[in-house]
Amino acid sequence: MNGIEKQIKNATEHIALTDTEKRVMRERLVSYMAYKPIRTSAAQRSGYRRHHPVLSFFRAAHLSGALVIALVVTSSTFGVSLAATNALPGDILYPVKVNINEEVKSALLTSDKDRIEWDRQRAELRLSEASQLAAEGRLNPARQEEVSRRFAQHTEAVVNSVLAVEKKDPVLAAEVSTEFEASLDTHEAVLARLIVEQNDIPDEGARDLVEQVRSAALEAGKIREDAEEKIAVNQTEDTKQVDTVDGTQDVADDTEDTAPKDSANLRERAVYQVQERATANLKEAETRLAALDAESELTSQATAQIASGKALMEEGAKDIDTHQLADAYGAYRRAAAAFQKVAQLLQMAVLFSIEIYPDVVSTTSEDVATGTNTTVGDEGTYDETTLMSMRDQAQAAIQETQTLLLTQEGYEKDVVSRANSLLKDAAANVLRGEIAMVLGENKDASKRFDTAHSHALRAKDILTTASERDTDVTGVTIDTPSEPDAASTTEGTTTAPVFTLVHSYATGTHTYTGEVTVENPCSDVVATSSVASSSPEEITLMLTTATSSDNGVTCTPEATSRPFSVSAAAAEDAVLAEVTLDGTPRTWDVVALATTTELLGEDVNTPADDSPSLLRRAIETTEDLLHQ
Amino acid sequence: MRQEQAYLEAFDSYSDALYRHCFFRVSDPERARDLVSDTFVRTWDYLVKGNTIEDFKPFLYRTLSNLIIDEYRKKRSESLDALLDEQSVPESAFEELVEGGREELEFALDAKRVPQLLKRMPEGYREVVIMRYLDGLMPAEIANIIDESVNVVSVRIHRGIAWLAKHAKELES
Repeated sequence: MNGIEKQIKNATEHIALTDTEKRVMRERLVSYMAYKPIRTSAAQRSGYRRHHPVLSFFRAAHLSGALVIALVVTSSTFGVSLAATNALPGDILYPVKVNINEEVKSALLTSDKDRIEWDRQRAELRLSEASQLAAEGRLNPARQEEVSRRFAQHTEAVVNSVLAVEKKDPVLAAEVSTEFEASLDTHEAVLARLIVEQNDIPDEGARDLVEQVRSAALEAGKIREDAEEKIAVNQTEDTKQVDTVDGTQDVADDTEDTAPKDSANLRERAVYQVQERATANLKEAETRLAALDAESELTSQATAQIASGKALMEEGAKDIDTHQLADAYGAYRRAAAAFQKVAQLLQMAVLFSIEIYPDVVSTTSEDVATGTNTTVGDEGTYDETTLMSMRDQAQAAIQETQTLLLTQEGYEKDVVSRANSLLKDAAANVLRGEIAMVLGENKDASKRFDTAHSHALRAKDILTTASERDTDVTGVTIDTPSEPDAASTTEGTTTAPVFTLVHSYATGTHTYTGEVTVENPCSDVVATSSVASSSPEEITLMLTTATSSDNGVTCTPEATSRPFSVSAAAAEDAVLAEVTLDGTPRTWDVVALATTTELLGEDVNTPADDSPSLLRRAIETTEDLLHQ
Repeated sequence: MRQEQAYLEAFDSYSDALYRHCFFRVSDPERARDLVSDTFVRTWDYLVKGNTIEDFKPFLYRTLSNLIIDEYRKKRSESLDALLDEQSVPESAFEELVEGGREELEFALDAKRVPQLLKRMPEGYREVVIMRYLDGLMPAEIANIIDESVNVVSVRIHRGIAWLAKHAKELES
């Protein structure tokens, strides 16, 4: 042992690059390698190219001379390929990204796992690019075509390599395909949502892309099931074997046979890995959630989702305790997938400012452990007619809520955005349901339509509760009462009928007169008003139907008109901000009744489609009021 | 093995050692990092030109040494060689060093003082002492890297150690 050497070593050991420095340096070198790849063909070794590697690189990429100069001047050594990492299909540097940067990385990976993982990431990268383009409104058919082609290529690579390792390592195959499946699901949701959001995207191609993603997810799902079968997590044999542990006699018999032992080992490994993944995914989902604003609909849904994922994990832990490895695997797998989706959706929310809500995970273990027989039975109930009516129902609910949102003023910004997000999510789910139907995935389609329906209803709920709570709206910009949106009401939906109010103003008092249809002759209408002291002042009319408690009178249900008149003390420029009937915001039309002269001369702006009786009664009531 | 892969593996294996080496020779952490980075960039350039590298370690050290020397040339005009006159040393006196055996010098180094001492050591010695004792390179390898004869390297190592012993004692007293 050499004293000096040892002493010097000990004294200097602590001098090293930090992990970050090392990582940054390594990344730069990898980029540099991508930017200046080793070419082995004889042509590339010609003297000219040797002395101008940068030029030859650009010539290879078919760029114009002027551009080459511009890029050489403006980019640092690593600049080009680094810049390329953010390129999107159709961008000049996109070929650099996919053909050079990414290929170099592929070439450098040696293990099966790394390579599959990278192909998977590349497939997902293509979808992220499509989403980015869609979000920017730049997803034209040519770009979509490019994305589709490359996505198909990478997906095929993933599928092939997973199939290749499946026999050797079914646990890896199951893991990769589970993750792929879950993230394809997310990407599908994001794309569908962005299509819904950007109406100017040519629908056909974009829809095709969503369909392609769905098909890939289905394929990944099938591979996962196959792999799981190989691990035998899906087989009841597992429970049998566990049972024999208690009956000590059988254990010896079982251990002689090596095959079940192997598969038991596989199962243990699979459970262990999926458990680790679930924990890691949970951590990521929680980190992402913590970074978000605590108040949104998305965070509350994500929180709920994380909670049910945790419940699944607990279930899994119990299953492990009772040696129900198959159930444990199923529970952990679904928990892991749920967390993964939450994390991805939260990420997307930040990237594209869109809120997509995670699908509800069931905490019962039906879809994993019980095998295929129940699913077949279920599939039968989702015939096309049922699905179509589910679709229509969801669509109707969306339109109804949309109408509510469009025609009603005075909601708080927060309420509007929450309802809007839910509605868009519902619409995206309808789109996904339709696509699932095209693919013959009827069960899936029904789930989508169901989600769409419930989201639309939830949005409606939010709007209704909001208007109940905030009758005294202040600080919200109120336009003059809007015309009901013709486009959204003509679709044959069950829109709340429009009120016609006759309005007059005299010496500090606004008077509104109209009539309400009640369900039976015993019901009456009580009208009250409130005035918010904003500028201009805002008047809210609250109409409440009340059934008189006169016993002995039989009230046969029969729609009856009840007139009402209500006045509010406010300045002349006050506006009517809201009209509610039993707490529900309603849309209205105002007929101005400016002066008594006009009124007497019956020179009134007659609403085109209104009944004369209503108007007459309104005028009479107004006259009464004026004469008091 | 593919050159790309070998290259990245070389980075993983030697970047820290190269950095440490560089750190003690240029006494500037940032500059040292840049030089290590440049070393790898140049090495890659060499590969891009169609060359192959069998053993990355000496190649990397050689490249880094050249860069460090360039760095010194920028800073000082006088030749490094002027600091030393190896010619006056009988080459035969250091044969044991050439063989890989080491002449043990018994003195205690205060760990805290080592970096300080290395900084103060004349550059001609420092280079070889760092390579020999910090990087664990054999005199023959060092000779190959700095393009000197094995004897010259051995002489420098010996003198460097003598210098170190002398100054360590000075610091103690």
